[in-house]
Amino acid sequence: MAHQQATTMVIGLDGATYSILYPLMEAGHMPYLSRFVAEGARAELASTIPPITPPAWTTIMTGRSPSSHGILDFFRPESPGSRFLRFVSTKQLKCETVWSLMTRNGRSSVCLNFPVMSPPIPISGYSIPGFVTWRHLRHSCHPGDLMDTLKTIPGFDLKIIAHDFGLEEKVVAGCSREESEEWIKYHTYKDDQWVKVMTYLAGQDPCHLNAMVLDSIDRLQHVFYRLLDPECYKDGLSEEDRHIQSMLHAHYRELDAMIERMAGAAGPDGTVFIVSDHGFGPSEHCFYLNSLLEKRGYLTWSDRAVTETEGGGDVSMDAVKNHGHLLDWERTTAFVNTPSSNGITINVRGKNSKTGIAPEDYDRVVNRLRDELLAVNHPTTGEPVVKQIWTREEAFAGTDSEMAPDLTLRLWDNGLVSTVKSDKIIKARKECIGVHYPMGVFMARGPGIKAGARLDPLNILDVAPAMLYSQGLPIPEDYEGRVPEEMMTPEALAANPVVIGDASSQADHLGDDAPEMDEEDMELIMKRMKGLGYIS
Amino acid sequence: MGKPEKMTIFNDILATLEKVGEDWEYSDEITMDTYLLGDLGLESIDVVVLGEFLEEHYDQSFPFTEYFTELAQQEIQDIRVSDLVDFLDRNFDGQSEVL
Repeated sequence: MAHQQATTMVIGLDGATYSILYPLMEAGHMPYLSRFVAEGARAELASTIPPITPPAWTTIMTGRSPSSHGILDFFRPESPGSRFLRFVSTKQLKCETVWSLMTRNGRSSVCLNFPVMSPPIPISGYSIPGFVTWRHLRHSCHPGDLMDTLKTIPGFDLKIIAHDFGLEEKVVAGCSREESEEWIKYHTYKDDQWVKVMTYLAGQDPCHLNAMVLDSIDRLQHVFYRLLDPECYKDGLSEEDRHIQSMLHAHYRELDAMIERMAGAAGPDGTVFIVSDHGFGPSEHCFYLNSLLEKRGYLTWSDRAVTETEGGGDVSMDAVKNHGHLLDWERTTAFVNTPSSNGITINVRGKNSKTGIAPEDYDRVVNRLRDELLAVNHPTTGEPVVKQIWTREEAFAGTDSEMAPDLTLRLWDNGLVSTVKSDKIIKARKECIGVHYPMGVFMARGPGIKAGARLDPLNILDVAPAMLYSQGLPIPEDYEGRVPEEMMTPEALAANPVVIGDASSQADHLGDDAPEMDEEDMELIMKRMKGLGYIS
Repeated sequence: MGKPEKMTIFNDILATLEKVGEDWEYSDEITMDTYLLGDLGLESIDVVVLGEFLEEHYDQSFPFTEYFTELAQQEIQDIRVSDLVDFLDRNFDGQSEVL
């Protein structure tokens, strides 16, 4: 796939935030990133609502909002109307990815460690998805023999690049002091293996657009944010904490070298973007929203729900999928489906439930709930707990997804709500943790990009147009963001103006060959749902 | 597709395991008594993904998450291939019985 068009390299840093990167750069831990910023343009990057990994990275790789691309959460219902959940996959993706669009335009791509890329989408180039266990990695890659190719890389560790769901529970459960060092080393090693794959492919078979997500920043900041943001440790640290902090700084130094290697793979004429899916910030308390809904009479727990009296209110990914058995559905009208949604779903009789409120009461219940939530104050500060509320139409206009909550919340600390049963509505965490903040990072360097420019905040929808523009391709007219033209010098923009082209296609699996659901199929689904008791 | 016999389901599971399990480092013969977690070393998420291949093969969905939730509630830590066969058999179209 050797080519003449200059290369684009997109380095995805899951959860990267300036509140940590700037201090690390100033302290000399990230010298390459400091040079990159001086030689390029940068901006804050507004994430999706809510700012979580699957919808945000999917927006980056489709140029479309979650309402359009259909990925709203980590999860989807096991079947239509089911209270049980599974992880999202490409089968729920409604829009074409930039990799497919590149393929249609005769260009090749590498996409590594992006969520929602399994089962694989055939593209010109290579893809290895994120969030896949090693046992299913082989058949989740494209092309199908990619794993055999990668096994020939000296020192390459196939298992380490896969998602280890058991190990990743530390993100919510936290690390013991003894585990902390291993947790940091694991992520340094894992990132390094991913970079090995990228640089190997770039050397063996250069593609036009190369994109990879490195997720160490997210995983480490969830656990160790308090040791990374100077605002959090201005009152000093214990000797033990200082030791962990020095290990974290060493990780960021390694990461900086990895970024340099990847940027180098783009070549001297290449364009390099560094982007994150969301930002990060501290959280010291946990808000138990399902427990609040219980106290206000909207929700009833089943006999299986156990009251949490200690702990941080965080639940494992596995537990989230299974929460269907924790509620008494006959006596629940509003509930939080997943912590990651930060939203409330209302059971509407005959719509998404056989019980719940009458359809004509929907607006009244939404308004009442909104008022009640806005009136909840923090027990310590007295400040409102809910800073912002979006209705389903405001946050997810036009979507038919069952995962779209009727109300989506932004909390005072940008944290995610807890779904578990608790004796209190708000509790202090044992230790300050890191949570997703709405503003991530956007950095760009390459031919025609201004040096040292600090731009006004951009939107995550702008990343896909920027990628395609760097490849000299027209921007699909249905893309919801724009090319950040202000990052370009006037001369470069005049020589290469932005061109708007035809609309993007549907996701590959929804193409012309995809079978339409006929009346017989629909009848069968309705019959099943009735049989399961979800439709009366 | 009509409801297959249990032995056909077993053979379909074997064929799926053969298709996806090239790197799984398990060389013993897989029988009805083979444990999915203890013997094959799978995690429940692996079984759900395995199930998605079977769903594609049979062109219908099965309540795998619900099944594993119920197993956990009953403190059942592992299942045999025969349990998976029985689960699929119980949940073919027109039927709905997790356990």
